[in-house]
Order: sequence, then C-alpha cells, then structure tokens
Amino acid sequence: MGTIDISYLSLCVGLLLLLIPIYYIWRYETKLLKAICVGTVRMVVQMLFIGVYLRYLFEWNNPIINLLWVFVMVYIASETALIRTRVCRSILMMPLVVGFVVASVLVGLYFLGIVLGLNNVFSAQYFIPIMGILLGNMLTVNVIAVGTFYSTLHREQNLYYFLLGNGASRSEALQPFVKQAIVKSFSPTIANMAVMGLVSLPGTMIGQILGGSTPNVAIKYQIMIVVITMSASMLSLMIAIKLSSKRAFDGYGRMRQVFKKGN
Amino acid sequence: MISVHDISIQFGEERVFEHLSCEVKRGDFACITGVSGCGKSSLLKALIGLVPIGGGDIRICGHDMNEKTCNIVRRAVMYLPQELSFPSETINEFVAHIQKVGRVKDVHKSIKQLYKNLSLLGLEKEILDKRMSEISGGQRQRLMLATLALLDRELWLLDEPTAALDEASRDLVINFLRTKQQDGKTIVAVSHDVCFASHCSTLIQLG
Repeated sequence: MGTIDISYLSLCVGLLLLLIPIYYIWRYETKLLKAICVGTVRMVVQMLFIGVYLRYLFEWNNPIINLLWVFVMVYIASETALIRTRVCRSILMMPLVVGFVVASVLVGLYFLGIVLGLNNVFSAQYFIPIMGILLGNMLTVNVIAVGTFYSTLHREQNLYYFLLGNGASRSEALQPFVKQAIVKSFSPTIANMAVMGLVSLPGTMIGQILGGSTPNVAIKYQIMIVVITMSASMLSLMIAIKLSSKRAFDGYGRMRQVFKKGN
Repeated sequence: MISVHDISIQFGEERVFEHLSCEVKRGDFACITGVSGCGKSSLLKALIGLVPIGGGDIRICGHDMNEKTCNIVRRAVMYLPQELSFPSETINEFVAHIQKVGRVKDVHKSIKQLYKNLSLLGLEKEILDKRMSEISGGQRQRLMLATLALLDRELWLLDEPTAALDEASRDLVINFLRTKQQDGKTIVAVSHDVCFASHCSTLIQLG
C-alpha cells in the first residue's frame, strides 16, 4: 500500500481551501487577516525547508548531527515560548531550555529505547520525528501554562502574599497558581484523550495509515504518542516553573519584575 | 514584640514615609492609624518582609527581620489582609487550605475551635457549607478572622479588620480580639475607624 504523492500544482489547488477561513476573517474584521496570511506563507516555506533538511538528516543518519538538530529545535522552542509568554529572558530562558532538554531526552529515549526497543535510539527515522512531536507539544503546553502561571500570579499577588505572610513556604504559596496553570493547559488534551477514536482520529494515526501501516500498528503508535507528549509536557512544565520561580522572587519571597517592561 | 527603628518605605519615586520608629510590647492591642495613603498597610507588610524597607531595621518576635529569618517570623504571625480573592469555590476548601498552611495536626479539635470562633463573631456554622460567592463582604471578613485564628499564632497583624462591618458586627470583632489579647496574643491592627482605635492600648500615628 503506497502513499499517493501530491504534486505542487495539486498542493496549490488544495491551499485554495484556505480562502474559506480567510473570507470570514476578513468579513468579520477580526484583525487576523495579516496573521493568517503570514502564517500560511511561513508554514509553506518552513515545511519546504523541512522537506530538504530531513532528507539530508535521514541520508547522513549521524547521532551527533541528530542531537545537534534537537538542540536547535529546543532553542527555537524556548525562544518562541519566551516571546509568547512575555516573561523576562533572565527569568525564563534557562528554565525552558533545561525543561525541554531533560523532558525530551528522558521521555523520548524511554520510548525509543525501552518501549520500541531500538538498538540505535538516535536513528534519524525515529529520533527526529519523536523529538519534534515532543517539542511541539511541550511548547504549546508551556506557553499556555507558564503564561497563565505568571499572569495569574501578577494579577492576584495579594493571595500569594497572604499565604506567604501566614507562614506558607514559597512553593506552598505558589500551589494555587501552579494548579490553575495545569488545569488550563492540560484540560484540552485530557478532553481530547477521552474522545479519541470516537470523535477524532488523531494526526499520527492518520499519517501512519496513509503511509501504509496497518490500523493495528497505527493505534498503538497513537496511544504511545499521546502518553509521551503528556508526560514530557508535564515534566518540562514542572521543571520550567520550579527553576524560573527561583529567579522570579527575591530572598524574602517578593515578586521581582517578571514581565518585560512595556507589557 | 515589635521594634521598628528608623525605617522608610518608598515605591519607585513615590516616598510613602521615612524615619519611622515605633514599638509594640508583648500582649499589646495596637492600632496603626493615619490618613489614606500614608502607608499603614505598607508598614504592616514591611513588618513581615512583604514590602522592602529603605534603611533602618525591624525586630519582630525575637528576630531581626531579614532574608534568613523572614520564614521563621511568618510562622509566628497571623496576617489578615484587607482584601483577598481566594480561589477556593467553597468555604470548606478555604478552611482546609488554611489548616494545611498552618500545619494543623488535630483537624477535629481545630474544627470545634472554628465553630466557637464563628459563634463569637456572630456567624452560623452552616456558613462553612456555602460557596465564597454566596456570602457578603462583612461575613467574609469575619469568616477569615475566625479561620485564621486557628493558626494560633502569637502575633496578629490585621489590615482594616472592621472596614466592611456594621456597628454590631464591629463590636463582635472588637470583643473577639480583646478576648484573644487576654489569652496572651499581641494584636496590631491597621484602622481608620475611630471607635476601633479607642479600644486599643497603643496608637501608632502615621502621616
């Protein structure tokens, strides 16, 4: 069972479907018109580049190059999270990098080495896509959760100081804010898990079936992808919050300037 | 119990007050008074290191307030802020959270004490089954006082404890605090209420 290729002309024809959302975005003056156009162009260009460099990564299949590539992805993910959360670089950058690296290496290698039982866990065919999907999910979760954590903390400082002033440790006083961050970032994923296979057929599974795998293999991969993305996202989030909160407060537990000035 | 020597508080360019010195003895019922914006609440927060001071020093509960001692001091203090948006949906959750913060071991005994505190403050114990959004500002203020009293700390720092109360409720709060003072607690309250201040043994005038 082979996969039918999509010619570049057919791809352009397919892209015409985007005219539907673009029309309504324009019609209702949502101010998202520029964002969707720029987003579409960026997506196409970036994906074309990915096609090129993945071809080389697969050809070379060199563990060091693959690892280096993952570090590049970690750096880009951290920069993106930093921009979107608007938290100061001095507070969040290092915790994000550490969180992404530790979570992706631990969870990724557990899956590749122990669950899949690969002899070469750095094999480009598995290592690069798995790290990619882990980092993509960790980025989404960290942007929502870290943003929620610091913005709620900033808005409801009186609650934090109330708990701290009554003898709670810093981590105890931060607990309500961590809870909110987890609820907000994980609720959609948990809701999706509950209806997976009934309402939605997820991307990994569809990709594998289109690529020629049997549904039996595809569902097992899909289950594991959900498991590893959730685990890595939670692990990276906890590391990012723990490490960044050491920098976000002074010796008395008072909040420093967390958000970039001008926000 | 509290010795403040030559402290100043400043937020950016705005100078709140400077060169303030004052003392509160163990077992006192002290009131910090002054016009709005003179730094009453900031002084209360500075005592437990929640607001930075510019110069001077604070000695509280037998410790010089600094980065190393602030956690020890905070565990000897009960702090009731003027306003608080607590995330718990139910009052029972709020009480459980405070018990956890206060590392309360005997929960059963603590709840019995809470019923007693609620009664002294004119609240029914059924209030515990309500949601935070279902009670008034005055009820919330008394509920927080009754719950925080479970921490059984030696020094009570209260920010406007009677601000949202009518006369009858205010008298209940004053009586409650006086009872606790007789039990050996030291109470320092910020208030602009003249009647409340008249019941206090020490006045600290700001501004």
